[in-house]
Amino acid sequence: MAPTGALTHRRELRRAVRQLRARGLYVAAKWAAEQLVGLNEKTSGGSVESKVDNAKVKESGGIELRARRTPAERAEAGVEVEESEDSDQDEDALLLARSYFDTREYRRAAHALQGLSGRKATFLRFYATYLAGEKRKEEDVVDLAGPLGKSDAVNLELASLEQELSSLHRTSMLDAFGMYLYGVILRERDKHAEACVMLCASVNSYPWNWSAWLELQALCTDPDIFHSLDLKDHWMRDFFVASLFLDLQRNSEGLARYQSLYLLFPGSDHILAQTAVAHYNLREFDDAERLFEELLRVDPYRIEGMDTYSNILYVKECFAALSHLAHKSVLTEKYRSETCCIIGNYYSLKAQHEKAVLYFKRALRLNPKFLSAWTLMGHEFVEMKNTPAAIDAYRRAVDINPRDYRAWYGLGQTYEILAMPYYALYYYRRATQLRPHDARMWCAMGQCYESEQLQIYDAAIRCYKRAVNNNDREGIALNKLAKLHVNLGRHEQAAFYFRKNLERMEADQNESQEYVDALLFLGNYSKNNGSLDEAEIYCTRVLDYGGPAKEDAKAMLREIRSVQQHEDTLLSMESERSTP
Amino acid sequence: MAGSGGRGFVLTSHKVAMCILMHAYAAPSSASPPFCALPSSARHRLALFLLDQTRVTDGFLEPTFEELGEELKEDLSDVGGMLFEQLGSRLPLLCTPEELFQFFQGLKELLAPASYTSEGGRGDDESLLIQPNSLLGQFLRRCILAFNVLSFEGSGRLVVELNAYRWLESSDPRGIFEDRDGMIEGDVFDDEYEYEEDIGDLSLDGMNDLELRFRGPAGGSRRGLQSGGTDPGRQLGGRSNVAAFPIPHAAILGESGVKTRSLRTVEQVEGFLKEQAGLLEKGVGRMPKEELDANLTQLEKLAPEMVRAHYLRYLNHLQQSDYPATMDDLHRYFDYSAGMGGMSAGGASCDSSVGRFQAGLLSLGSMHAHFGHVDQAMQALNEAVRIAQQYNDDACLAHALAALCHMLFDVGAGNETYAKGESAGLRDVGTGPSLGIQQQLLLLLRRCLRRALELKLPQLVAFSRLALAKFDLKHVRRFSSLGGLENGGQLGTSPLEVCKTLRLSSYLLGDSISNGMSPHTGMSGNHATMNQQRGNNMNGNQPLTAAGNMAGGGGAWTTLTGRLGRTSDTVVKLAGTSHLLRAASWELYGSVPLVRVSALIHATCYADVASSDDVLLSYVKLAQHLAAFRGYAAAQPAFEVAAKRFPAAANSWIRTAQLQLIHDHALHRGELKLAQVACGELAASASPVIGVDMERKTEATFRHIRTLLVSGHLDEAAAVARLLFSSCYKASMQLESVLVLLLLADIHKTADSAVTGLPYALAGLTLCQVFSLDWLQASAKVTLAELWLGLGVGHAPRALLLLQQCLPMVLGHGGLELRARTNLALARCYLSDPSFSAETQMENTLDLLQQAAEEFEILEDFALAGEAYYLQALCFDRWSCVEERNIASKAFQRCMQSLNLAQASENAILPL
Repeated sequence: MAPTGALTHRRELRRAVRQLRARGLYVAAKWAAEQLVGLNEKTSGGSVESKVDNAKVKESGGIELRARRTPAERAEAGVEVEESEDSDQDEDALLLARSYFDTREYRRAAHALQGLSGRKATFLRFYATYLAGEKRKEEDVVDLAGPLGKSDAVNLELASLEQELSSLHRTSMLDAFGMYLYGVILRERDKHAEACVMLCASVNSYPWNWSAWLELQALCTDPDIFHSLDLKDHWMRDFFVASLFLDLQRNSEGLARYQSLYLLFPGSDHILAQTAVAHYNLREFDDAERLFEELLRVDPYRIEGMDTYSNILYVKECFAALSHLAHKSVLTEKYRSETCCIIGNYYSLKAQHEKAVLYFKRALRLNPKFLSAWTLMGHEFVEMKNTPAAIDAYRRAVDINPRDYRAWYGLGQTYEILAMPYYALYYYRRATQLRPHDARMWCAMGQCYESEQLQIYDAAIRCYKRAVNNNDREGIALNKLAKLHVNLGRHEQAAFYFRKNLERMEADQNESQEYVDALLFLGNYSKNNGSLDEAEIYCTRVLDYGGPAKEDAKAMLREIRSVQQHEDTLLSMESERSTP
Repeated sequence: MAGSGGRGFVLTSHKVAMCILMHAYAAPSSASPPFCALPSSARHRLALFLLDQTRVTDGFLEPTFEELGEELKEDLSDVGGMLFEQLGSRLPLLCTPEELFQFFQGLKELLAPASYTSEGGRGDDESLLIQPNSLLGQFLRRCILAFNVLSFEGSGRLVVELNAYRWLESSDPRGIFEDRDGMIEGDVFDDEYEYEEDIGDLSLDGMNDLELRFRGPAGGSRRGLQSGGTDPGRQLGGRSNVAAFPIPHAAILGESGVKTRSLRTVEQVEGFLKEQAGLLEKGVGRMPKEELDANLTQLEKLAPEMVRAHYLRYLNHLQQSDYPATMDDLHRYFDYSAGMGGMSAGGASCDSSVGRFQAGLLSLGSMHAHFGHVDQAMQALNEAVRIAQQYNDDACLAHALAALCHMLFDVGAGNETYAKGESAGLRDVGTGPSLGIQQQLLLLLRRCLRRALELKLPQLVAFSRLALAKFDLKHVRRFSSLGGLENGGQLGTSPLEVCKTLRLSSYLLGDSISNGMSPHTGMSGNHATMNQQRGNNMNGNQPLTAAGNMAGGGGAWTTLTGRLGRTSDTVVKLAGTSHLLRAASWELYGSVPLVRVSALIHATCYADVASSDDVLLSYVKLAQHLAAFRGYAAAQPAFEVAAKRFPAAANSWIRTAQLQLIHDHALHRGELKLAQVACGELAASASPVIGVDMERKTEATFRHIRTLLVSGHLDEAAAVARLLFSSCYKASMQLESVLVLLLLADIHKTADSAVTGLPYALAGLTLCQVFSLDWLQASAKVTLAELWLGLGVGHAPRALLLLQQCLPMVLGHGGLELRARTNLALARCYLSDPSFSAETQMENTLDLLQQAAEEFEILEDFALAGEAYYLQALCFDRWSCVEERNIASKAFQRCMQSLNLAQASENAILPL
């Protein structure tokens, strides 16, 4: 990417950070600032130059700023105040409101803004009202929460806000931020289509608001919706698309997008974290772990996304590292759902499931929509043999995000534990729909089909074949395929799969009982097919291992030898007969 | 607030209003300000009204203030209106937590002390204290308890809600506060003065004072504020703590009602859901789906813990045949309800926290059956059986067995794969795979009955009995060998057994109705229905679509999941079903009028409780009866009535019956094209899976053969008929094979080779006798007689004898067609008899012919009517009655013309 591109990016981002902060959209501002810092190092050298550029852009950039201050002043003021279309008095009121807003006194802020007409003031008023409602809702949730955190608390401001915003929208008085807020409210009012349209309009006219993109992403529950969106081309769109692909479990595509973005923003933590998540989703744990370590090195007090890191550590059973991570997160911020999740993971790894559940519950208390906590809690309940609770937890996860394949998978597993393979199939099917290229899902389905209750072997074989085609790393499928074929008396196919399985195990240097079984079967098979030499090779390999297999192999070898001898004598007899 | 005061009992504005009314009821004078004393009758009615309010289940939302007022006025007329306005004036008094506190303190005095009895009441003239254990007392105590455990925030919220409640329905939200001021100073008082005029002895002065005391000081400041802000929160409350309870805009704007309209108690909501589910199960295609959907969405928002809403959603989607959504809802419902453990416990089936997974499987099975996925349904049901066994859930096991029985009926006997036990269909059911499917079914039914008897589940016992009766009705079996040995005794049916079982089942029903003993509801009725349909199908006349069969079944699994519907209803429903089964047995064993009687009994006595499937069935039966006795023209309107009552979902069933009728009609008229199309549609409605829907397929083929016969493709018809016969034989559908035999005889008769037809007719006749199919036997005899006639004049006496034998049956129980055929055959016998004497028998013969012709004309069978007229004309000719002869021949001509017209008609459009 040309440095000019980076330059404009820098300018845009700087402006965006200020504008977003001015409107109290801190998360988006944080994001923009992160990307700003993460921009290509080389271009950030000439700071004066860039500042000048910056000013120029501001003058030309339509929405804001009749620059009356010197650049220096502006630098001091930092972020505040770009719009000055209002009178001084209004300006003061706005300052007051912002101060209230920053101290989280939203209602006061909204009140202080009453009667002000500027766009920023209007937006801030709406936003403050909305947040006041949200705050109230959260307090209500604490009061009203049911046993598992569900509650009927709603943001009471939504209806009136929607009314006002829609009337403003009709007279096209809404700017991009207003449209964003309107979109958010529409989404909460379950008007998803309109919300999509509104958010699209918002990001098209002001692409730098990452929160708007995130809202849009949450609305794109399947690829079709994404394709139907009317989005202008912008580099922010690339971020969105990459993130969306990850969300839709199209991980490799997402990864590719992030890699190209990385060239532009080499220092961006966001990209780093997302890349790590992509690797995690692709089950490339080593890569993911490396990236997370890198991320923590750069940003040691980061908590965002660290729960994923803890998952990796969990899978890799790194007790020490996980405990360290948990300790560090507690020191950084104790009451974050991510922190609680990390601790929960740690306890889970230590097989202290009650404690783990306690922490997951705490995580959910902090954020009832924290998806992975529900799923992980489900896992814990399964471990504790509390199947109804597990099912409930998984189901909540699924209802929060129907694309959470882990929860679907967990539901399937739980029902399988209950010896209801047929019922479980539905859930596995949902999981496979979400991850058609994940061998584990196919294996799980295959196991259901071949369970002694169902015994639908054809379907099981089809599933395992899919698993094999999708690079089944754990190697369950090949072995199962081979065994199924043996049971069905299809020895030729069985031999084929045993051979493949042997190859796989040799590559993995995995020499378990499976390996011995495969050798033994192949030995037997070759012997019966008359290729004695081959059979001999297999049998001698079995001799390397102990156990009853060894004796079998010895017996078989003896048999082979005797046959060979017999043949030899026959041959010699024949040759003797023919020679005279 | 949740969990306070018992399960989900949340103190709401409505409940506060109820408490105020209770105060007015119990101790009007002790209230501050006191209520006016009510006449005792009015107090009585008020008590009833309050009782009713605590129990109604017609909705899940509590009524708004206005609605409450309307109901009050409705129930208590003038007094109600007055009470309402007093209520209205009292609610605003509760505008701070302190006042609420005082109010609830005061409520405690309403509860009678333990020693108190109303008869020996204390001197207090008008206090009717409420017994703590009475329903109202319980309600009151729950309210007080709920208030006592309320946090301060909670009571603050309640105050806010009370304010919103009072003003919610106000037409103009912005004007609320102006209104309110006006009311306080003007309207309210005016109204109150009106009461004074009405009731006279009111002393409201004290109250006015109070009002003023409360409102007075606030008035000025309020007015001052009115000009300023728009935040209504500021204007709330009369006194100091204005800012403490800001009402959000939305709470006042009516359209956001979500929050301010609160739920009724959990019991009431559950009752509402049950009722809705019952309606859904019953009224196929009569519910406004969208409305229900919207309702459910609202409910889910308000009370996500009411998992039954998911169940309703499932039912709703099931009725709309939305497969993915149905699957989704079903799984969601059972996922959640399993986790809720005790939430809906109380039945024998779900004591432990093991959950109701087996019930989920059961529902899954019936759902698949509803959608026609037989294989899947079998899998699910088998798994249900297994899981039920594993958890010792006997009730579930019995129900699963019943469902399996139904499935076996549904799958039909022809499915080789199941019979061989290959696809796991029956492996776990406990019978060896070597037995034929029918034996398996029989064993299954017995097992089901035994289990039901053990568990004392009356519905299930009744269901199994009905199913057994139907099995006996439907299946021919060897008498001496129930074990399924090859060369057992004689083949035959057992009408006596059927009758006995039917009677038994209804005795049992009577018992359980009188004892009211049944703790389980639901299921069996529906299954009986389904099987019932099958039973009717057997007759070969109306295989009715099975779609929608399981609809009820799916719903009825609430037996286990949650007791929807009321016990007596389902028992009565079963009783109704037994009448339908009786109709079926009559149809089979030979009396069309008695079929009508049974169907009529069902339609008139059980229409309100029966499932829609049952009602539909009785409608169809009656319509078919009309067709058989009054001709097609009369049946058409009956169908229209039925179609109006059951649109959409049940249509396929009506459609099938209608198609059968259209086909018959078209064949009679000779509209071959139309007949072909109808037959084709009928065949297409059967499931494409081999071995499934055998009866429907057989029926379609049967009709195809008849079409071929009428259109003159005799060879082809005979070939297809032979194929059909062999397939029937293979599938051991003996009753159908009799029909095919008779049809073959008919084909040969039409081909004028009576000799070859005879064996078929005789075989059919014998089988009819063995199987006790009286009606069919009569028809077979007529066919046989026709064949004898075809053999030559010399056989006429024999034919006559046969006809005379079956005359009582024909005249007593036969339909139009059979009667007409018999009449014609009789006339022909007389005419072909060499000893026919014109003097003595001519009158008689002519009469027969006339009757036959008229009957055929009603049936619009122009060919045969023509024949009758032709014979008539010949007779008249011989008797040289020229005028009559001309009339007859004209009639003949008319018939021929209509026939030609019909045959030439290219009409192939099925009437809808």
